Amino acid sequence: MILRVERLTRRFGGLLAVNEVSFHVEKGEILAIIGPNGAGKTTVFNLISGLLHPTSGQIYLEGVPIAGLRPHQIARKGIARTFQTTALFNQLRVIDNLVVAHKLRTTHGLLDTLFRTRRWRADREKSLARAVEVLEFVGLREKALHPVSTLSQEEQKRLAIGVALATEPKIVLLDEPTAGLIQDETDGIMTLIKKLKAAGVTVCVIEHKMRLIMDLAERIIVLNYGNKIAEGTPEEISRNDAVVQAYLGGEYAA
Amino acid sequence: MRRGQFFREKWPYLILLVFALAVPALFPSRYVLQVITMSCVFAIATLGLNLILGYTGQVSLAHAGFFAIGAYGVAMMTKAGLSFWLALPLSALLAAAVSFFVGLPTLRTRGSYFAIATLCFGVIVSIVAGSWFSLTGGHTGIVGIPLPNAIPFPLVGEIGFHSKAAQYYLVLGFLLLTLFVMHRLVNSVQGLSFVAVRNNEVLAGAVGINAFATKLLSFVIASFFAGIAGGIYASLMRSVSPDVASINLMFNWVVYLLLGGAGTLAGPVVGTLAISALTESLQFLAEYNLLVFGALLVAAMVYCPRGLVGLVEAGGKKVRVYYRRQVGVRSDLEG
Ligand SMILES: Nc1ncnc2c1ncn2[C@@H]1O[C@H](COP(=O)(O)OP(=O)(O)OP(=O)(O)O)[C@@H](O)[C@H]1O
Ligand SMILES: [Mg+2]
Repeated sequence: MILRVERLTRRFGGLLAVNEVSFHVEKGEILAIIGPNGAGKTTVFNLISGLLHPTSGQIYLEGVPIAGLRPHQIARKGIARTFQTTALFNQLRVIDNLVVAHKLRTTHGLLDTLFRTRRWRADREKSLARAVEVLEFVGLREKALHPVSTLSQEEQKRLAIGVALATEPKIVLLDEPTAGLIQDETDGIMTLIKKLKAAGVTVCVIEHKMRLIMDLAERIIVLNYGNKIAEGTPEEISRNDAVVQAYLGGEYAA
Repeated sequence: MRRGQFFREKWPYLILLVFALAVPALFPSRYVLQVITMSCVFAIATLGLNLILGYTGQVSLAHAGFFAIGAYGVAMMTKAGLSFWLALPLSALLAAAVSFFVGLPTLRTRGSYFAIATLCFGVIVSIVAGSWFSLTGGHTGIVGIPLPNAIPFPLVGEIGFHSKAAQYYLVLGFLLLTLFVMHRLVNSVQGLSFVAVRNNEVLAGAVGINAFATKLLSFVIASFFAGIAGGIYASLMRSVSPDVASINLMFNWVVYLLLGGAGTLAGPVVGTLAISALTESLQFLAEYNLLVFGALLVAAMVYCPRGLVGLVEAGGKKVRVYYRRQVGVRSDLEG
């Protein structure tokens, strides 16, 4: 078990955005989180990645409690994430997005940088190698030296996943990786997520489009108004009455 | 082979270097050389400002405060008998240390709050400089600061700094050193992390970059170079007064930086030299020249937000495209 979330709760004033939610993610699996708008999915990711602190509850990464740590500390511990509205360093070239995302795995300091010591060069080689490896993985090898602004929507989403991978994470959290994409592009991203699984990467993905997730995820958890209302295999979820009522009623039956 | 390539790629810089070395011969006027030398001192300060404001995106208005700490530090230490060559790094380190403690609380604030907080620090420095009479000489400041000590050289004797040319070379040396340090910083993962923090602080955190520590590092290095510039300034001007901490000085650097091109290596130097030259030639306008700067600044922000350097780069790209097209056409005709 890589990630375990226990009775996670987050209150915004009077609003219980996440209410006593517990779940876990096994090594190498894809866990999907689904739920209608405002269900609290993104908030769960913000809590896990340290952008928000829980009102109560705990988060364990490989058994070690991490709630309360700051985002950069959690990233160093091995949790990477993407954002619902694609976040990239759009003032940097494509490859530099990945090189800078690998900085947390380097050990050189300021003096190494100024004197370009052997350690600095070794780290640079390592980061570049990792960046190229990731670029190849997400299919952006030819775009390495381009500015981010020249990438298409889908390429930017790929790069965002690449940025997460460049941190050498133990688990990747993907927040609606296909949001705003047309059908073809969506398929491309789905193929990439399958490729992640094949490569042994542990993934927790938020996805709106229920159909997409059905043949991708091992397990699904369903949030509604901050509560976990169901958990199970895609099959079980699609047969779950509470889920059908709360969420699938319109979309899935149609 | 490698050396050949080096020259082929870097020849414009070598020409610039030769030109820089020839400046005292090209401008025999003591006055002009003095203006150029002081511009180079300010270019060092502006390069520091560029790191925190340009690359890291934090609008620090405390830079003149650190310049003043460097200036007063060198003034007091050299008057107490310490060698300039020891006083200068000590004063710059003092500026850096103070900036560390100023940065701890202020860098927790964002955007205009940080600008205002650092502005306050600058004002405090200038008030302290103006009123702590026993230490700083109050509003008259400190006079009779010694020139940098001569550097003894075996065989040749020693190199003194009484001539304007020697002073110019001294400053040029420090300017090149500053450029070298900035070049190494900016062209590294460390430099990328400065830009990453400027660009998207939330994402920077998500990939494990400690944005606060990164800003603090940038701020401290920037202040170190403000201190270096201030120290040299004091020693060459032979006197300091609370003016060195003034908002005007700070404002000038911001103008140099924005017009030259923030977030580029050449920008601060080009901006400082170009605007200083412009200021000199606009002397007849007296205080109205601020009006001209204001207009220039607005125009620059609207039409070329990356400053002169950005303009030249864009122009260069256009020329290259045009040239390639011409060459393409010609080879079509010939082929
Ligand atoms: N920082 C915040 N401050 C106040 N309220 C917030 C904050 N973040 C989220 N919320 C509220 O918490 C609730 C859950 O939001 P969240 O973004 O987690 O939903 P979501 O499941 O990701 O929805 P969507 O599918 O639209 O992305 C919403 O009502 C939202 O308005
Ligand atoms: Mg969301």
